Amino acid sequence: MRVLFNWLKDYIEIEENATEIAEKLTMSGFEVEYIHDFKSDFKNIKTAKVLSVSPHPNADKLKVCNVSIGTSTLQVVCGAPNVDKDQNVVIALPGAELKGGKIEKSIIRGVESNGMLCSEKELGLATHSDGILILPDDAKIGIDLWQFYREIDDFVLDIGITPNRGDCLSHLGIAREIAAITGRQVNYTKPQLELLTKADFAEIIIDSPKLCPRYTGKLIKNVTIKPSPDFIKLRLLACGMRPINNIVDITNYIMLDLGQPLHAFDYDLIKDKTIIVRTARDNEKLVTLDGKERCLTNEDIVIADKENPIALAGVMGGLDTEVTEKTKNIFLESAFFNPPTIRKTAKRLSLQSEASYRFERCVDIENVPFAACKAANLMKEFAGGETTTAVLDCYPIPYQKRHIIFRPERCSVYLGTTEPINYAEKRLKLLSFEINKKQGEWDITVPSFRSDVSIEEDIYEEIARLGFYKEIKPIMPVVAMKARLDNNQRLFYNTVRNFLVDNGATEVITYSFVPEKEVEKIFMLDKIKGSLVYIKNPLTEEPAVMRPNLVASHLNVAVLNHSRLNNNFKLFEIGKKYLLNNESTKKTSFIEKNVLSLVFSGLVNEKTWYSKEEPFTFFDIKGFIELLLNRILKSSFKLKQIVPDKLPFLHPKESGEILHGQKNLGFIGLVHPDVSSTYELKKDIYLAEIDLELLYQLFLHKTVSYYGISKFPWVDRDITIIAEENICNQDVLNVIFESSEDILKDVKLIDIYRGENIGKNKKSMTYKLFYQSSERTLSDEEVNLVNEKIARSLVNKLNIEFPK
Amino acid sequence: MLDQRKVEEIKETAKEKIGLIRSEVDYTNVKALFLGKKGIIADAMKLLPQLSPEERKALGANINSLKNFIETELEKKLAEIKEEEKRKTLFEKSIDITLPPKLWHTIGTFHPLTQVQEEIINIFVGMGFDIAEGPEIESDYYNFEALNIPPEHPAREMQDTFYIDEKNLLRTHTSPVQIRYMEKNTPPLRVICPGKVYRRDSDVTHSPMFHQIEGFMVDEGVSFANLKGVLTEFLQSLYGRNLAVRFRPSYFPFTEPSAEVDIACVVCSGQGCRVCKGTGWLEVLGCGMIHPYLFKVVGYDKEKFSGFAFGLGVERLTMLKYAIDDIRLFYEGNISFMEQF
Repeated sequence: MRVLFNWLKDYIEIEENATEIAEKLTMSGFEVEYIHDFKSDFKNIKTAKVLSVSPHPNADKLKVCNVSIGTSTLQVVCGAPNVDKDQNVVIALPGAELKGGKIEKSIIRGVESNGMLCSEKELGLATHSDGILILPDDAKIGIDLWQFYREIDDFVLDIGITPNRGDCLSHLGIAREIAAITGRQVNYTKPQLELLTKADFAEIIIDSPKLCPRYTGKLIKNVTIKPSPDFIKLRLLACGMRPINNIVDITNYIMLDLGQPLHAFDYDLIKDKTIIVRTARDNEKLVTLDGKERCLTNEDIVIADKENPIALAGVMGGLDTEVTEKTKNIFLESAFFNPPTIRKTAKRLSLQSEASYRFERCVDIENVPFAACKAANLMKEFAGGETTTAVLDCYPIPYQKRHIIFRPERCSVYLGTTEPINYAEKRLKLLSFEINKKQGEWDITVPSFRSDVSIEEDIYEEIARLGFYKEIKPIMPVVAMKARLDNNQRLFYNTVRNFLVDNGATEVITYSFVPEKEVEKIFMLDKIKGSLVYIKNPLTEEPAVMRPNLVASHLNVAVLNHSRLNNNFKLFEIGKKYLLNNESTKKTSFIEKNVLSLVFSGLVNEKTWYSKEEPFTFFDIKGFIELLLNRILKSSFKLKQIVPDKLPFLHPKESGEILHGQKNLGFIGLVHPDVSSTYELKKDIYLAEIDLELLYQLFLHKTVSYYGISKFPWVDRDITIIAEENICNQDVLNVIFESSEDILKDVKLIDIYRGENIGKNKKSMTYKLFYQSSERTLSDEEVNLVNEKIARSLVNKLNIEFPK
Repeated sequence: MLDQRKVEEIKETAKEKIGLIRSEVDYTNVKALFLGKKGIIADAMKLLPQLSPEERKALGANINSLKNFIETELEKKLAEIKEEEKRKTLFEKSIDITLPPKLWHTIGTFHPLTQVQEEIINIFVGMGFDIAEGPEIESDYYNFEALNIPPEHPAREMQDTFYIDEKNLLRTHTSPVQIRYMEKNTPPLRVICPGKVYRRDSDVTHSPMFHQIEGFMVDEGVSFANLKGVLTEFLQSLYGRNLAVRFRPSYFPFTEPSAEVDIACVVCSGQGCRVCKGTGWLEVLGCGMIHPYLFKVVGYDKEKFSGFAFGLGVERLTMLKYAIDDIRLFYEGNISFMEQF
């Protein structure tokens, strides 16, 4: 909220400068985000006198004026109809910045112009102007505008008011805080008033007292609608509000002054002079001040006459009872509305206003009629209105003073120091709390404007914050030692992450949500639409879902890197994928599963002085997974062909599911050429996904047991077979292990060969078999026997041949 | 004639010949010349029987010691030659040690957010904090209501929320983990909760997804002074022992009293610069004493226990640490960005 430094001085004497006050406010819980010198908005704008006016040689509607700015005379082209000789005016010189833009020396239709004579609209002082602003005859000429209007010579403090401090959304509120911080007094005298429960001019009926516990009305007769006095216009402008007319401006002014939003109705347009505060009927319509028809619900509060709503309570007035130039009599509303209700309405209708903002944060119910009176007095002064001290006050649920028991001893323990307790009484009194000391306890009465203070701990904060928390010195807690309950899963992920980075993979983090169309692009939308977690209010209009896997995100990362000529990479992400839990029938629940996703692109090895260029193949990513599982589980895995169309973003053949025992740990594969082309990928991309939660379970249940190390040498035998292409390595290995004896320790595929000499659709595979016994040195005969047995099985079961 | 002079003569010749040995071939020749079956020593030995027993005895001993002498000298010479040859080959063979190294594979990098997050976690783990995590798709209850933010509370505005349905949303902070953890455990507690959080906001300093670390401690007699102690310790261990830290009153619905913590600007050391908007201070985390409402929700006795809680944004600290000016760089996956860390 913007606060004017000099406006604060209406309520409190301030010796410090704006920066010093800002520092104090910041340190007591009111963060001053910046200090703006209001003068700087008016730089290079001066008062001037028109010396002569002559017609523009090339334009009928323009005039060429000579104006004096005291020290010199300038030629200015002006288009205002009201410009005349001897007028005192405002000139914006080159360098000035106005709403319409920066003023520069220019040639207008062939005539040099050294500035611009300003209208009120151009200065921001009015929404509409018919001509330039004419200053009084006695105005001093050639001075800066800020010297002419002393309201401009001010600082604007932009303060971040936390949502609990609705009472500080006003100059009075901030002045009260400064008073408390600096130990001074606030000079706020409530105006004289007479509260009436009945009045001739109107009847107020509150239908729902809980939603509106207080509603006051005041009649101001015979007003003249005209622009506000300069000080009101300039103060509103400095606070970021647009001056409109004296009545509207005064309601806004009082809101900024006292924090109480007011609404002015055209009294003569209120039917039957009856004001009913009630909830709206469902689908009831009201045209608000902005000209829009609003459809209401029974959760909104309206101000109504006997038939129809005339204002949306606390949010915006109705168009039908708006104050216009014709308005003669004003019915001024000052009320307290239930904060959550106002917020709900404002939010539903996207109609957050300065008024609703304050009602949402609770106004001071005890100050409601006084704000009306102060406004009425200003209307009397600046709109010529007639008013009395009488206020019609409907107050069905009177304010109950809030009491809090404060225990100084507990406060010291809670804060960890006794120091602030010494100042507790003084500080609380400065903050308008009343104290009634009993044995060891204080009965504290909270002032009506402090709706945020409701528990004992709130009092601790009040006491501590006025010392800027500085009295509380840091103390490390003394605790009983205990072994930490490690989050092993997290440590486990770190192990995985360390492995990946050490082996050349770079970590990425991508958004957890993706546009729905990305799921479509990987051909998964039809398959899993029912399980997708949709975001109800995504960032853009495009539907977004929580990612069902990391594939789409990572393909986009690949595209980005290819576009930056980073073609060779191993990337990984450890993150969650999200799906609806369709199995739970009772209520919606979600599955969040941590997975490891890998993307490989380009070359394993670039061409170097010691190596040839070597592109990534399926077996590189397979090897990577092999190393990972070896590191984590001390064991290997098998790949299984994926059921057709289960993972349609993968190449149907160059892909597989990772099986560890019976468990499906994830997949690896080449990106399907169709997906590659939708993403316009220029290189082959290999993907892998591993279910980290399952991997963690396997890791936890991993059993490692020692076996004796054989003292006897191993021997090896090579077996070369010629097999049909459809015989795969796994088939061969299965047969070898099935038909071997326990002296077979290991098998390695050491060569694959294809060539015309062995026949079409055939391949030759050479395996090296390692034999070893833990009890004896194996004899050649013994090994040969087993080796031949294996060879025979291969022939029998796989129909292979041996080379001739 | 074989006599003492002859023996001396042979010794001198041997010394001379051995001195001239330059290679293993020379060595073999000289060795054969003197010690071979038909060598000079053997020849001399053959002459011994012609001498008188006394002379034979004396001269025999002399020839023997001459033989030993030659053998020793030859061995020495051989060792020298071998040493010389070894040295020669050592220096003959040369490689260009400035060639680029052979990399059997490259090394990747950890995401900068991971690095900073782990650094932070390690500091708290060192102070005996446990780690807890919770779901990212969270209920309105845990994300707001249990944290003293009822529906229509203005504080909801501080965090623009992504909703999944009426009751569920993407958590806007890691604070729900506080409630979940307290529900399942009893004090004393010291816990940090790292994780992803989501807010409907996107520009160069705000990301709709970012990382937070929540921390809290509950025990008998935990005080605001302890909160200051632990967080000052944390920040100074992260940024250096001399770092100035200040606690400023603030407001969070789930803490009372509440504070924001500023550190002296790490860019300008508190002098005032663009990063700290001239204030010399950087806001790095929010904290406070756990609001009694939360204790009521989880069933702790507020008269017995008290606690503090804090939350910090990993992105912000990372951006400060590495002078990164656009938060979106973290999530693009651009390798040229990632490999800098």
